[in-house]
Amino acid sequence: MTENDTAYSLLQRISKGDEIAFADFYHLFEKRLYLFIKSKLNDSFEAADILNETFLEVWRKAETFEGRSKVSTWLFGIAYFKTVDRMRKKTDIPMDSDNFPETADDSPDAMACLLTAEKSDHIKFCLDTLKAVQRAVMQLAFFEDLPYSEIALIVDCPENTVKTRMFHAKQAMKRCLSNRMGG
Amino acid sequence: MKKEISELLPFYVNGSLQGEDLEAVKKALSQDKALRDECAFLENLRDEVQNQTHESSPGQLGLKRLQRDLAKEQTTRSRRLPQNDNIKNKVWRIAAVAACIMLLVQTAYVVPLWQNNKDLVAASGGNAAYIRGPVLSVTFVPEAREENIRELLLAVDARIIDGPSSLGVYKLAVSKNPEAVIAKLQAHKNLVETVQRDGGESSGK
Repeated sequence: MTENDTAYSLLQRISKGDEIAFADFYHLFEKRLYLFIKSKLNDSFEAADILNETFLEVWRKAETFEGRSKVSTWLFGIAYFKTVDRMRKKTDIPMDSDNFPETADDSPDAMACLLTAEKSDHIKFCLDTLKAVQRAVMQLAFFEDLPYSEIALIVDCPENTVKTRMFHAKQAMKRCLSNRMGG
Repeated sequence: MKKEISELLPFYVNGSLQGEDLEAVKKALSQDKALRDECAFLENLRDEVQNQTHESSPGQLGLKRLQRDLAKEQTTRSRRLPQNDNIKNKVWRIAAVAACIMLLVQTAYVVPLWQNNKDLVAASGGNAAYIRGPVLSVTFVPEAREENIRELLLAVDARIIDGPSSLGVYKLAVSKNPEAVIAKLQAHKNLVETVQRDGGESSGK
C-alpha cells in the first residue's frame, strides 16, 4: 500500500467523522507540512498556526476530495494558499514576483568552493534569504522530492513557472553562498 | 538548450524526472562538465534541505491543539444546528401548553358570567331589556318624520320595544299611566295614526 493509498483511505474515514483517522493523518503529514509552511514563512508560531488551520480544513473538506490528485498534493496546496494568504495580509510585496536579479558566479572555481566545508550553515542562511515562492518550490522539490508537474498543481501555476522558480532559486543560492564564502 | 537542461536538473537530482526529460538530461550530463558540477551542487543543496528535519515541528502539542479546536468547532456547530432547533422546539412547546392552560382557565371563568347576563349590555344601548309595564301598539302616519316621532316618544316617556311589523305597527312600552300616554299620542294626529293598549304588559326582555 503506497503512502497515497493510506492517506486516501484515512481521508475517507475522516470524511465520516473518524477522529482516530484524523490523528493518523496528522502524524503522516505533520512534520513535512510544517517544514514546508515554515520554509515560506520563516516564523515558527505562524507556521504552527497555519499547520493547524490546514488540518482543520482537511477535517471540514475531507468529503470533497475526489482523488483527482495525490492526497499530498491536495494537502500541500491547501497549506500553500493559506500561507500565501497570511503573507499577503502581512505585506504588500507581491508574492508571485519572479524578477530576481541573476548575478551568480557560475565559474567552476566558485562552484568547487561552495562544496567545501562549513557549507551547512551557509546553505541554511542562504535558504532563508530566498524569496518565499522560491523557498516553497525548493522545499517541495528537495524535501518532498516531488516532480515539477505536481509542484505546479500545489502552487497553482504552469509547470514552466515551477522550473523557472527553481532555476532562480538555485541561482540565488549560488550568489548568496558565493558572497558569504568569499567574504 | 542549456538553460532548459539546467531547469530540469533539480528534478533529475530528486529522482522525479521521467521519459524524454530524463534522457535529455542524462545525455547533456555526459557531455558537459559544468552541468555535472552544477548537478553536484544541487545534490548538496538537496541533502542540506533534507537535513532540516532537526527543526522541531508542533508534533503532539499541535495535535492536542487541533483536537481542542475541533471539539470547539463541533460544539459550536451542534449548538447552531440540531441542538438549537431542539431548544427552540422545547420553548415553543412549553409556550403552547401555557397558552392552552390560560385559555382553559379564562373560558372556565367567562362562560358562567355569560350565562348570568347581568353585565351584558346591547350595543344599541340595551335599555329595552329592562323596560317593564304596559305596552301600546302604535302606527304612524306615512308622512311622519323620524325626528318628530322621537320627540313625541321622549315627551311621553315611551320606548319602541318591537316593530315595525309588516303592517307598520310599533310596540311601545310606557313606564306610567298608559291612558294619559294614549291620550297624548292620539292628540298628535299629524304623527300618530292609531294607538291602542295591548292586553299584556311588557315583562322585559
